[in-house]
This record gives sequence, C-alpha cells and structure tokens, in this order.
Amino acid sequence: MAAFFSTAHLSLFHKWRLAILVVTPILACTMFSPETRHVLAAADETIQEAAALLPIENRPDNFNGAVGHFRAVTLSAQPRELEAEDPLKLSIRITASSPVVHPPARPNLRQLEEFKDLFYVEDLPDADQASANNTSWKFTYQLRPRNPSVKAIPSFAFCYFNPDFLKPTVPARSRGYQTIYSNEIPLVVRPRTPVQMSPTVAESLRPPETVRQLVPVRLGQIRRFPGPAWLILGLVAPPLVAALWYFCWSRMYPDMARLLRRRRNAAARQALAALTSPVLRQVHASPAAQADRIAEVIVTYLDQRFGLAIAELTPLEAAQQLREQVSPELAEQAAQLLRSIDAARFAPDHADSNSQLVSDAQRFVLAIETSKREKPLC
Amino acid sequence: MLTVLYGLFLVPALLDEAALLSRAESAFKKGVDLLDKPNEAKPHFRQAAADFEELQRRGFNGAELQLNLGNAHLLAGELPRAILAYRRGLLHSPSNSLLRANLAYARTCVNLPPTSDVGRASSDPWWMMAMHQAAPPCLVMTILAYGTGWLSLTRWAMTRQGFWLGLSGTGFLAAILTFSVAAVSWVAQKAEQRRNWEQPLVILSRDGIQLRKGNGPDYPPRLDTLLPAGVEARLLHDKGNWLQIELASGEVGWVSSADVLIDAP
Repeated sequence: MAAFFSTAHLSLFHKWRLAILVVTPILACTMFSPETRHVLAAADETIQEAAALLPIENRPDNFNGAVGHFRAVTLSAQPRELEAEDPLKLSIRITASSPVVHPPARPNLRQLEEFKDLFYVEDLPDADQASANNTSWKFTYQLRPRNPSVKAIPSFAFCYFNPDFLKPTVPARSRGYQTIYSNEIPLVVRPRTPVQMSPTVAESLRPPETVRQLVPVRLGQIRRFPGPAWLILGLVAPPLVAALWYFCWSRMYPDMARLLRRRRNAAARQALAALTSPVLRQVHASPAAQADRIAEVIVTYLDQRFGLAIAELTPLEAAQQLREQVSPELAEQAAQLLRSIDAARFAPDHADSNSQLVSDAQRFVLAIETSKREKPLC
Repeated sequence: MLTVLYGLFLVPALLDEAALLSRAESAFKKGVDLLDKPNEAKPHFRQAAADFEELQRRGFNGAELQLNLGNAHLLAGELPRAILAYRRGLLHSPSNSLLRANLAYARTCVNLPPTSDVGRASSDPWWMMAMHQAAPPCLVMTILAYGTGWLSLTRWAMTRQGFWLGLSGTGFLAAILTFSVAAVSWVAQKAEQRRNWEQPLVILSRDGIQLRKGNGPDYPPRLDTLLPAGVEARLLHDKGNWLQIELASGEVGWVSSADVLIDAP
C-alpha cells in the first residue's frame, strides 16, 4: 500500500501536478470565498444553483452554461460531398482539460443563424456521448444543406465560464466568459439530380386535360342576364306582334270577320222572328203544317248558322253532325227538338202541342246563340 | 369624322388587346408542349398568366378569361392565384362546368391534412348548381311560352276555338313558372355578388400561416395546425395590417394582410 502511494518514481512535473490535485481542494476550502467553495464543492448540485452564482454582467447571448476549463471544440462531418438536401452527420466534440464544474448543454444549432440559414437541422440526442471522467462530450446532428450554394459547415463558437474568475482575488468576474471556436468543414454540395418518374406515374401526376387547355376568350363585357331594355322588349313584343297579326288578318279578310258576326246574328233573328210570328199560326192552320213550318225554320237556321244540311237526316244523324259544332248537351237538345217536330209532323195525335214545340224551338235557338263552343263558317 | 376618329384611336387600342391575348395563348401552348420539363414550362405559363392579368387590368373580364388565367397560374405553380381566378370566373358564370372542374382539382392540390376538415372548401349543393344551370334555358323557355300564349290568344280571337284558348292559357302559365325559376337564380346571383362585396374572398398565399385569436403576432394561435397556401376564406374585418377572416370550414381568426390574396372589387 505504501508503495502504491509512493511518489519517488514520479518526475518533478508530475509531483507538482499531484500536489495541485491534492492541495487544490484544501485551498478551495480555505482560500476561496464561501461562495466559491460552494460552487467548487457543489459538483453534484443542480444546474440552477451553480449558474445562479455566475455574474450576469457581460454574459454573452450564446453562453452555453458550461463552467470549467474547456480546451477545444472540434467538428466532424460525414459525408462531405453530397447533393442539396441530402443528409450528413455532424458531430461536435467538446473537451475539457479537467473535470468541469458544470458540463456543456447540447448546442441548439437551429438558433444559430449561420447554421439555420444554410442547413435543415435535426437533433440526434440518442447518439450523444459523454466521457466517464467528465472531460469530453460529443453531440450529434443530422444536417441537410438547403441548396448547392452551401460551401462549408461554419465554425461553431462555444462560450463557457472559467471558474478561475470566481476567486475573490480576481476583480472582473465577467471576464470569466470565454469562447473557443471550432474548425470549419468545407463541403461540396451538388444540385439535386431530377427524379425520373415512370411514364405511368408521370401521367397520373399531370394536371387534367381541362387544366391544360384554353377556351376562346371574348374581349368584351358579357352579361349573363339580359339588361332591362331586352326584358321590356321581350315583354312588349309578343302582344304587339299578336295585335299586328290580328289587324292584318282583319284587313286581309274583312268580310270574313264581319260575316262571322253578321251571319250569326241574322240567322238567329230570322229564326226567332219566324217562330214568334203570328203568321205561323194563321197561314199554317193544321198542327202538322205548323210543325212542318217549325222544322223548316230550324233547318234553315242550322244551315245558315253552321252550314249543316240536315233536312234529309234523322234526328240522331243531325245531332251527330251538330255535335262537332256545339256542346253535346245542345246536340242532344237539337235531337230531341227534331224528334218532337217529326212526331208533330207525322203523328200529330201523339205529339206535344205546337205551342210547346215553338217554345222549345225558341229555347234551342237562344241556347245556341249563348253557347261558347261553336265552329264558325271561316 | 367619327369614323376617322374611331380608326385613329380606338382600333389600335383594340389591336393591342388582341395581340396581348394572342401572345398569352401562344405562351400557354408553349408551356403545355413542355409540360414534361416543368422548369422550362413554368416561365411560359407565368408569361401567359401575366398577359391574361394585363387584359383583366385593362377592363376585360368574363368566365373564359378567368378560366384561362386560372389554368396558367395553376400550371405555373401559383395555386392561390389559380383558385382566386376560378372563383372570380364562377361569379360570372356559376354554371360553367370547366371552371367548377378545375376549381375542384385545384382544391385537391391544397396541402390540407387528410384527417382534418379545417380550411377545407366544399362545392355548392346540388340544388344550387341545378338552379344556376337552369337559369339560361328558363329564360329562353319564358320567351317562347310567353310568345306562344299571345299568338294562341290571337288565333282564338280569330277562330273562337277552345283549343287555342287552352293553349294560350298553358303558354302563359308556363311562362310564369319558367320566369320564376330564372328570377330566383337572378336573385341568388345578386345575393352572392352582394356577399362578395361585403365579405370579399380571401385566399391564403403561402404555406405555414398561423390563424391567430387577435390582430397581432403576440396573440395565441387559434388552431393547432398551420394553414397551407390555397385555403379559402371570407374577409370579415380589417385592422391595420391584420385581417379577420372566416375559413370555408367556419373557423374565425386573424392573419396578416401580407399573407393573403384578396378579391378586391
């Protein structure tokens, strides 16, 4: 055991180093201020307690939070020749000359403009490593260069606090913030090679035909709905055309129109006059003769009114012809009247009185004149 | 004298527009020929879109112009401007099937998350589309039925036949019915124009826009997801450089005016 702790075989330099290692803690407890002793002795203390004791004055914005004697920060990357947006693995190794008070935090490259402007940054915390003796740390990232203009991975600035500046004999504690820079790694970034798609995939990704075609353009204002002028024209034109047509028709066929009106009225007047005339009873004294006269009046009336020659027709046949001109009820009324007239003519003993026949005939004529369904001569 | 003035001043202006249209169509066709090489085709489509927009700026408009403009923007990769052009075209011709088809395709290109309906625009319901499509033929049928009614009435006055009177009544009734459909379509179009005037159409112009609860970047987000380019909305209110919009899916929030295209009248 004594041989193990013997220093005889050590050189002077190593003896001094050993002395420092042994004495420093003793000195820390005696020479430094209570605050410093707390910092140095609080190797297992939480991060917040240690950082809270560091000076705020002149604290750089990129201060990592590390406290200790750091020696170097180096970058390594693989591959160094790649296409734009292809991935590469970047490792940042931070080494210290002695066990540190507080280890470095993982650098956030996305907050560094020199990195975020050039690369898409992705953290790979699972690949981080730290040495057992608390003197070396490696942080790993995946970077993708944004474009072929990226020429290098820029130098990384690591800012830490040297705990020597916490000694009470050191007046300017803020000078304890120190920065070391890493190396820069040149890169060769090529433009991306265009992807060759299969024709089937390319065709499916092409815009549809309706997007790839042009339609004829009419240079002018297009109205979807017609304006007020067109609407008024559409409203007024048909009745004007109709009136014009009627006017032209009445001019082309004046007699037809007049005749239509006159003939209708003259036939009815003649028939009614004949039926109500006292001559009917005086000239034709016998019932049969009166019935003949009534039949003649009705036949003449229908001939003048509708152009029907029903003198030789049976009442049923006459009614069928008349049905084309007037309503079925009137046609049936005509058939009944004609049957009554035939009965009075050919079977006077069994017929109605002629006065009843006359009134029936008058009613029939008036019914015809007041009915709506009729076919004129023209 | 008027003819001379017309020849001196108006005809050259018309020729400019015709030449512009011809150049736009030529550029578009060149782009279509180079569709397999997008990097070479896009400049031609951009040129065509610029010429179509110049025609629009000079006062020419219409569904056909907006359709061609939308196609040029879409093929040039300007999805928001394409959607805006298609929507403008549909204001002129709501029943245009090409505009509807291309707008539907453009909407599929909007990079919305497949599991969410936020910002997703939908097409008009079937009855509204049927009404828009029925309007032009209804107008024609109204005129025909109205004219038939009057002519039949005249013929009845000449002949006094009941058939003509019935036909006249049928014609007038059909005219009333078809005119009613056309009138409803006209009212609907006017209502949509009024709505576009009061709440203009807004299209998000870039990806990654955050809809916020207030008119500033310090307000918290309204939605959990960022909105992509091409999302359609309506402008509700504006305050400085911030706009309150309502998405097609109903959400209301604020965006910066620099991030949107507005269909200004």
